[in-house]
Amino acid sequence: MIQRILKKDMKRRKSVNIILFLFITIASIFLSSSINNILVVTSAVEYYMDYAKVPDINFIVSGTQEKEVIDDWIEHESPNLKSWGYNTVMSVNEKDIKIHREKKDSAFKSNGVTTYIGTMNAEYCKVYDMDGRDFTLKQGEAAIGYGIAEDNKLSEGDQIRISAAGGVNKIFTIKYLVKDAAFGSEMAGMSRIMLSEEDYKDYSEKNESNLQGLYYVNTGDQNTFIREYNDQEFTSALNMITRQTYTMAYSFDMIMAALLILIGICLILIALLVLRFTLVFTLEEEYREIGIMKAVGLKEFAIKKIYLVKYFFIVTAGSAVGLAASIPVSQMMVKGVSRNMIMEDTSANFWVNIICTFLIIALVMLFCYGCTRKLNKISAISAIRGGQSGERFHRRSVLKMHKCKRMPVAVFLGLNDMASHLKRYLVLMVTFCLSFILITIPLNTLNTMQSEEMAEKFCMNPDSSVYIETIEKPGEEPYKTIKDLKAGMNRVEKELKEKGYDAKLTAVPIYFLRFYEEEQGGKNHIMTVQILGENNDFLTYLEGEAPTLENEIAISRAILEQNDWQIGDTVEVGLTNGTKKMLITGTYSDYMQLGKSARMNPEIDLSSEIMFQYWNIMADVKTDLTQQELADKMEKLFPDYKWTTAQEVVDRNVGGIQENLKSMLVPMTGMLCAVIMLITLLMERLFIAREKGEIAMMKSMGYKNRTICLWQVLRMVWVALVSMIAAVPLSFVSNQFILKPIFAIMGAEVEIQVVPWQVYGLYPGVLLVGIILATVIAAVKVKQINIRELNNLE
Amino acid sequence: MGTLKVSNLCKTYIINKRQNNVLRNVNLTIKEGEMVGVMGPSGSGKTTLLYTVSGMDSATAGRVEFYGKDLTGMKANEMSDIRLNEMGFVFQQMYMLKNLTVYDNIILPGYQTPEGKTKEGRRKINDRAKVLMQTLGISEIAENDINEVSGGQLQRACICRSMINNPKIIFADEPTGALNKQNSIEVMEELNRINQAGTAVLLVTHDMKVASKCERVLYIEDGDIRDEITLGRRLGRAEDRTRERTLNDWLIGLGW
Repeated sequence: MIQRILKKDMKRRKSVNIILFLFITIASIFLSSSINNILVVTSAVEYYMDYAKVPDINFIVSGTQEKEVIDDWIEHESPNLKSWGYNTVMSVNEKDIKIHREKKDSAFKSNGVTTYIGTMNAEYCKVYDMDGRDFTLKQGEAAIGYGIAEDNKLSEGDQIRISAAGGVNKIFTIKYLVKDAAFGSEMAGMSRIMLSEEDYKDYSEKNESNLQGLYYVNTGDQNTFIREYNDQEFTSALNMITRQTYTMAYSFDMIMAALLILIGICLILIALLVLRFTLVFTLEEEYREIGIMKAVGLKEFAIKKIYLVKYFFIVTAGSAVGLAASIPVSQMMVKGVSRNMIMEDTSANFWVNIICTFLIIALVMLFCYGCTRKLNKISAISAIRGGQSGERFHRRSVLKMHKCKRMPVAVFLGLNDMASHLKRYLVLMVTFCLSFILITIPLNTLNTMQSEEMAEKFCMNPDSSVYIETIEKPGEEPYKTIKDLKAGMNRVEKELKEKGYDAKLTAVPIYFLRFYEEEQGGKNHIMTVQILGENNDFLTYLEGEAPTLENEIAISRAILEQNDWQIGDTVEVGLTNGTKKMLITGTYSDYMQLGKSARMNPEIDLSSEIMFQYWNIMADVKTDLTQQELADKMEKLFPDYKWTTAQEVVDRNVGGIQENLKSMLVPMTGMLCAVIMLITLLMERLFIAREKGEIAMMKSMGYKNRTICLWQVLRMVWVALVSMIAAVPLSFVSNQFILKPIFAIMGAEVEIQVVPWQVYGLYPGVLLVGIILATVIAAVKVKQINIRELNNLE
Repeated sequence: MGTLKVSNLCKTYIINKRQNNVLRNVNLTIKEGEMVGVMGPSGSGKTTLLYTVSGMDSATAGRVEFYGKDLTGMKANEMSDIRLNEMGFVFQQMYMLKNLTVYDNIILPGYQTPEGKTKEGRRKINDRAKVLMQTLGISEIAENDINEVSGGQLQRACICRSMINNPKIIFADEPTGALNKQNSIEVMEELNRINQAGTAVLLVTHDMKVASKCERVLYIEDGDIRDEITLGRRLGRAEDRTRERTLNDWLIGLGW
């Protein structure tokens, strides 16, 4: 008998069953692939760091003058040393690298990161080919990072020319595109071109001043090592990067995965809500049959079995199809991550998907069983009465039609339905609300990235006319002191003036200075920036004020908290000419060095200090052009310099996430729209099935199909509008608790930017159109309802 | 001129590839202001006849003329307009929208007419609804939900609703079928009153007492009108007994 009931039910509810099946399929695909992705991504970064032998600490020194002293200290005095290694890299001006095609040279784009040439002669921070294999290079061959190669449209077999001081000028054939764990991430701010030992020797011997020593240290006690290293006061010491910092540079790969996980969780939540609604709806609709079955003596589980078996079939079939589809989806997702990393063997993924599928079946069936508990509570006679005990009634009508003087009947009916049965429409409201919130996440992320505050967090004045990445002339060595930098700036200003641009340049030189804490005697190498130029009052502070006097400094909140320093404390800063006591006047949070930096006052003379590099130079000139227009114009007038906009700098420094998000926006909206449409279609079909009698009655009174469809559509529109209104405050919550922490990973809190016409207009509008379209499609069923269906009315 | 003229009406259903002729060449005329009852055994085609002549169901063959307009050839929207403006319906079950109050259910067809689109029109509909409710003695349940009132009250509300647009004819399908004796009497009194005010009524019933209130009764069997009896216009309760006896004798003669 169960088989017969089941067969009949499957036929009777064909469209609803198909929609439910599709929904389970989609939910399975997303859950399996996103869980797979979580597992892959969480382990991938750590695995990649181990695989590439990224050490606990990697510190960079300028030149090789102190090599022996540092080697000796590491070998004999450094605490808890496990292993160490050393090699050098040589910085190369972007202008000195050219793409060589058909005997012609064209510009090479470094995308704002410092480019180095190096070899693979160290056992640390190793690079591998795209398949994760080790390789060797012969003379005339080069290996280049995948990201930078892609930006320059370079592939294996292409040629590049690298020239340097001392007349070294060679053409290299790109033998391999590589994955570089340490310097491969765009957020690392460095990229390496690997050469053979012989070729590198030719360059490095004649450019010793451009060499930087890379020390790789594995230690049992990272903090003690760093503290004691800082105590040594090596004059050539520049930057120090820990393994955690390298790992963090891949944080945005995690963010993309996190977004997908969020979508997966939301989909499962929606799937369960829809399932509960469908099941309860079916039970309520079939109360009479259930009552009769109970009355003739069928046991409760036997009745439940009819529904459980039906949903077991649908869920199993949906999950199985979902499993099959999730495998290529998982592979696609993993492929996206593996483009940047070397990952563990992915054969385990298949099992993750299978386990997920079984879990979905178990979870959904458990959930279904929970939903059928409603049957326990209802007696045979109550069920026959359609769920009413005959004693308790609750008021249904909320609004009064006769009090609405002008409102069209269809509009009123839609509104009244929603108001009378809020609980019934809750599933839809939650779904719509979640979708509206989900769409705000990438939108707000994008808009925040395009905000002026982001530029400021990267130590740039967003109001500057244009920015110059590097001002060294081709063949000129990278500037090492602010004296060189100032000279370069003066030269550029003069060149600009000659062409009619009275520009003022402002640079941000970066140093790694030693900081001593007076009371505790600790030492730190902290990245310190100083504004060099007139445009020096654009930086903002969380507390206190900008340092203005010669003995004042501002320190980022992360450093203050790390060292337990406060505004008003005095810190000693180690300079070449001795230490200088400085008063902390303010604190701030920005993205420089992942939120760990200091801002030096503009008065102090740091011309004797070794400058690590300089940040994008801000050019202020009277113009009506936008940054992009001016950058394009300047690029033509002064092709020797790399002109850019604030947005381009931000994009590069957040690892190209903006492009990913932009490309994700349309598919994500499409996907959400499809999910919403599917749910709306399912729900609307169920509503129509339940309201068959009422619809037939309205038809009998002379209501046209058009009016009845309009009633159904407007009801959905009301539900969607209420959900949209509810989504507004909830999106603020998601901004606060999802987006803000994500941005904070980079080192600073940022105000999440909301563009109202996009977030509350365009994108929800697209979803609303989807909802209306799905309702219209489902409401076609209204036409098929015959007035004879009056017999179906409760 | 007849309000409703039915000629050679046929209705056939195909169930499991078997042809089921529910109505076979039915011919009937209902005059203006006439109250006609349709009786017959279960499955004889009473309800199908009502649904088909009122345009709620399509005819397989034949012609249904309503004030000279052929309903069988009408488009769905035209038919909706006729049902809305010129016909009223009362069913055995008190079908109403559950989310509306009794009053809102009554005015529901009124608000859909062109008159109901204006503020002034709505005021008139509301006035009409109040008068109807008062006449049928259900004013006190106006603001109640439909599950808060008795079956008899609800059926009277359904009659109010069928009358809201001043129809020319009311189709009633077993209007007392779900009511107790007292409520049945009250509902029939109301239908009689409406009919006496000039609205034609076509009523399907299997209750002889209900049918005896009609001016004319048709007996349908196997989808065809086998016979009919004219009882004449009912003048008051005093003659009910005689009418019932006459009808009973006629029905016995037909093998009822």
